[in-house]
Amino acid sequence: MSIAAERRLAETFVELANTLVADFEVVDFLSMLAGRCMELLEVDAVGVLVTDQRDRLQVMAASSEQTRLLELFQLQNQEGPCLDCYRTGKIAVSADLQADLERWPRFATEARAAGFAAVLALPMRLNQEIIGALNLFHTTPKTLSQDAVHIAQALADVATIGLLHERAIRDRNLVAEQLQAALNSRIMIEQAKGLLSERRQISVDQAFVELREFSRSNNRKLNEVARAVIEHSADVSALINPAKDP
Amino acid sequence: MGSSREARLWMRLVDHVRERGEPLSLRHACEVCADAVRVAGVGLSMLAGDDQRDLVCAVGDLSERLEELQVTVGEGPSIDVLESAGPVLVAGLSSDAGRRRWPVFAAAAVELGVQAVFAFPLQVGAIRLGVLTLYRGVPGSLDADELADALVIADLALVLMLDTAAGADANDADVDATALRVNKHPYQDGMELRQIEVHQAVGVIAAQLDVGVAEALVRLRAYAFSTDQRLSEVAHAVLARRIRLGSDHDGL
Repeated sequence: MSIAAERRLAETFVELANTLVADFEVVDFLSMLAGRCMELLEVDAVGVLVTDQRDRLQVMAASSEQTRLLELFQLQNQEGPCLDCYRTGKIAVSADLQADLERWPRFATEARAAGFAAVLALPMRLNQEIIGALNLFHTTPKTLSQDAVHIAQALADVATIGLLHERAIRDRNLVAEQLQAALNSRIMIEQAKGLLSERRQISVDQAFVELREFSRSNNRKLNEVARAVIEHSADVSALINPAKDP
Repeated sequence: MGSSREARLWMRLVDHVRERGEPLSLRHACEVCADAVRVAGVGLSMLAGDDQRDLVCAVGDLSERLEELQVTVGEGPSIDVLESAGPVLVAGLSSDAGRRRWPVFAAAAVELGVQAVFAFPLQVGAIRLGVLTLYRGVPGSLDADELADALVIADLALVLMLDTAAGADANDADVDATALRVNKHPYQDGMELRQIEVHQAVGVIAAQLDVGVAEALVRLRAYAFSTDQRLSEVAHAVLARRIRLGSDHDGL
């Protein structure tokens, strides 16, 4: 790894550590992590998927909120690298989706139609269990180096910690509480995305960007802003109707 | 599809109701829950504005008393659930963790004979209608299967509660229509409750009709039922702006 890349990696871990000790919001944190994964690993799309504890994997965060990408993660509940990874606890990889059409017929077809050529899924581990997967996509056929895979696994582990906080790791009940609360936060953000996209006549992924920028510039948590949007609170009127401000 | 957890639990509910020759109601969800998950009792409460809870049905001797206790002492799992937006699972009320969490409630609940409590919000994002509370007379966690079953039953109860709130009274003839509505695409409704497109469509509909998100979900489900489509199909059409739900009840 080059010196510059090492430095960037170190900076990323420091930043993530700082975020963890401060008051942070889980979807915002994981979205940022997904973005960092994309830069550091030089991949073209990233998703963080977790079990909803009712037999499905759900998207917690992604490097982009474009609908087509989110659906590519969601459809892996039927087949795909994330499902394989979640079930086996092992890395699932395809360096060239064209060659793996039989392995994941529907997923490989949809992924290629979306412009992706290679994919990797790494397990998010918690003690002996797998709670989800970190999903990486390339637009060209590619194999990640061993170094890169190790870094990717470390980032998957950071995602797990970000999701659950260290103290929750030992108690299965606390894990379930945190995971379900995080999933509800995510759903609330999706509902707010829909609402804002209609009010502002923008795409849902642009709505996410607006929600996140508003939360950052007003120093408020992303899920709280989402709730305020849904409840039509006056304090987010600038977000819902920006044109009204003189 | 037929072997999914939602489908299995839904069939248990349907069989349960048919055996009794009764119209489907929330009480049956409670009874099936007590059966499916090894617990001593189940209580289902509906939220009635400002975090007030009305106990709608209960199975087991102590559900009502546990609910009253929480109201009296102002602490407990059903209260915490509303703050945390996730379940509250305490396997040992006699433990340090239990007593620290609810100093008054834990001791009083143990006196009553309750050793473990598991409370689940009936919630999908910002849509939150009630709380499902389970208890045991012995300490111990729900295992992964029991947890999954409880989460799915909470979703089924949410759907039933939505239908109830949408205008079907317990004694009303409409309750059969409600039963039909849920019967038509039973497990699909449950599963599709947690799809990205459904959450986003709920938001779009809420903005389009200027209603709350719970009402938006009711409209979405009503439209899917009346046009014989899956929830996610309608959601996609809403997001693509191919359809726009109208302001009358069936959204046509």
